Amino acid sequence: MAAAAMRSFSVVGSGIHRFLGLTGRCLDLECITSIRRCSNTSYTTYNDRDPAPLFFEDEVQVVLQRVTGMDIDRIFRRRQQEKKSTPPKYQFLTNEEVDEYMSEARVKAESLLQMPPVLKERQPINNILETNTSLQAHHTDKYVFADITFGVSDRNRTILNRTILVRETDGTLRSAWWEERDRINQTYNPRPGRNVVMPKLFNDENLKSALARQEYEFVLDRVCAQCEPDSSVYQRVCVCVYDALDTHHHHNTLYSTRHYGPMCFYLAWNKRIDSLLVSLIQEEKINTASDIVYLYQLIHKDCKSAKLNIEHTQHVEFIKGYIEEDCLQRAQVQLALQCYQDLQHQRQQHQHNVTNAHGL
Amino acid sequence: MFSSCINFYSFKPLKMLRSIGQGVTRLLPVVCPTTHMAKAAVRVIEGRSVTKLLYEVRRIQWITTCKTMRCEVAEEEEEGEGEKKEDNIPPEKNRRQIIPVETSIKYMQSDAYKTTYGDEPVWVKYRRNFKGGLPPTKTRKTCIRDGILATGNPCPVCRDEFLVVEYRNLELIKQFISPFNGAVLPPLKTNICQKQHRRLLVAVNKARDYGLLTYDVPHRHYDYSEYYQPQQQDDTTEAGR
Repeated sequence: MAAAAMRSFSVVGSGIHRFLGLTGRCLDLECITSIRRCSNTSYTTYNDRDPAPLFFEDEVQVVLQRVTGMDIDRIFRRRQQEKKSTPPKYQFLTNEEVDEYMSEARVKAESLLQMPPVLKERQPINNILETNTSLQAHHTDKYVFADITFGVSDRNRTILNRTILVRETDGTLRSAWWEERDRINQTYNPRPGRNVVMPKLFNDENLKSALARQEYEFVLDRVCAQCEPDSSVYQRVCVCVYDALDTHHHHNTLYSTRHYGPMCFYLAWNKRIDSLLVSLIQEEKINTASDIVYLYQLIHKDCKSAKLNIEHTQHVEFIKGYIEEDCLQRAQVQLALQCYQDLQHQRQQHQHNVTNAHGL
Repeated sequence: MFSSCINFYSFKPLKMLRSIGQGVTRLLPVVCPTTHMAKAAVRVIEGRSVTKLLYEVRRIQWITTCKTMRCEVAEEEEEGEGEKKEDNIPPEKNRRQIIPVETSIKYMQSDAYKTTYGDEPVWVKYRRNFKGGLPPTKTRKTCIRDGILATGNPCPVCRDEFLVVEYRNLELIKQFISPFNGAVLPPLKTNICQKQHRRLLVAVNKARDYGLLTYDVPHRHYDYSEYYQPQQQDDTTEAGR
């Protein structure tokens, strides 16, 4: 009998805990502690300076789009959408019609490569509209008043929450917290890929095991579908993913996806572009590497390498300027660049020998 | 404290009875009724015309008064019943033992599994029995009732006790997901019973929630004007209006 009583007590306890976790502020605290667990010392979310003005600058957007690349096979890979699949259609087309279809495909590719916005982490809402003590014993549950007008976006929707707190006995009318807003928005304006309850994938253990399996794109897609870009969960998950990518030099897995731009922006913001540069130079993508350095200079306008005034189009010289002035892991980047230059020289030599042998 | 077998007569007070065999709702055991009362009651029941019956008498045999003996008898009786029940189950139909997921995961990698199923999913070689040309739109409700296989041709999952459908057993779950469109295959295709199909749906959803199974997430489009407006200093993200 005693055992049965204990069991029932624990169920109630967990229920309360879950309830608090969903509606209470302890959610934010969990996020803060998990940042320390998951990431290195210098990796943090965007909570000091606002990155949005820099991110949405035209110059920066152009550079990020150029860096992302457009691998058509990668973008238009066969996706499994749980729909009935139809066999492909084969058509005979003229050259003009082919060009038309290709330009349409390019427009669609650009929309699929749209970068999720990079924003400052949102601050908790503390907005009390009214304190009405005459309502204090009126009801035991909270009432939520939500604006369900058609066409109002989730971010601008008014969601009010009239509470009677169990401990304090006053009826306050306050704005809903961010977590409550997300749940209400999903309830009344459901979106594909988004759940009311946060997926367990975003917990530390599950996230780590997913990243160990190198499912970076899946995790980022999932967090984009589920959370807003300025929510603490989104920022924490992105930090974990970028951290794992940087440690294992797997930047290439996000190439030609919508997440490559924000990743490069994040690394440049935190002055950690060296491992990215090394992997790009090793893949002989010197244009992309110089674009990354240019992005770094756009973000940190007062860096030393910007004052050297080297032409951006002279890729190797541009990167060398960065290595001498601002680079933190000079040896590795220098070595990579040196290897690249030697390789280019050898190829030129080989070509020269071949043309000589052919008597040209 | 010696055991004694006493014939107890339990008496149930009834107000009115139309006929002899009407339903008894509750028996009140009476210890050692006087013999004349018992006889009187019995006489009343045996009588043909019954208009008013005060008590319905039931004879209960072989109840001992001694506590210790009673306990022993109870144990013996239970053991006897248990043995009888388990004796009746043929071992190949016995599904009473719960096999842990870890064992099932190991089994999927074992030689026994390989020789049984090869490289194909477990449901491919199964043949469903039905009358006519088209199969019924639903598979059977469940193959296992009360821990025993209740059918002659159990479904592909129930027939093999080491196939445990759980979110961690990815090798097994992936066999029931279509390689063409990523959806869970319908039970008409895989021929698993309805109970196992429901367990499979739960397992697949749970595995996707934990991130053990990946899928193509629907693309989300952002309207940049909602997130940043270069003219204003503050974002339009301020809530609480």
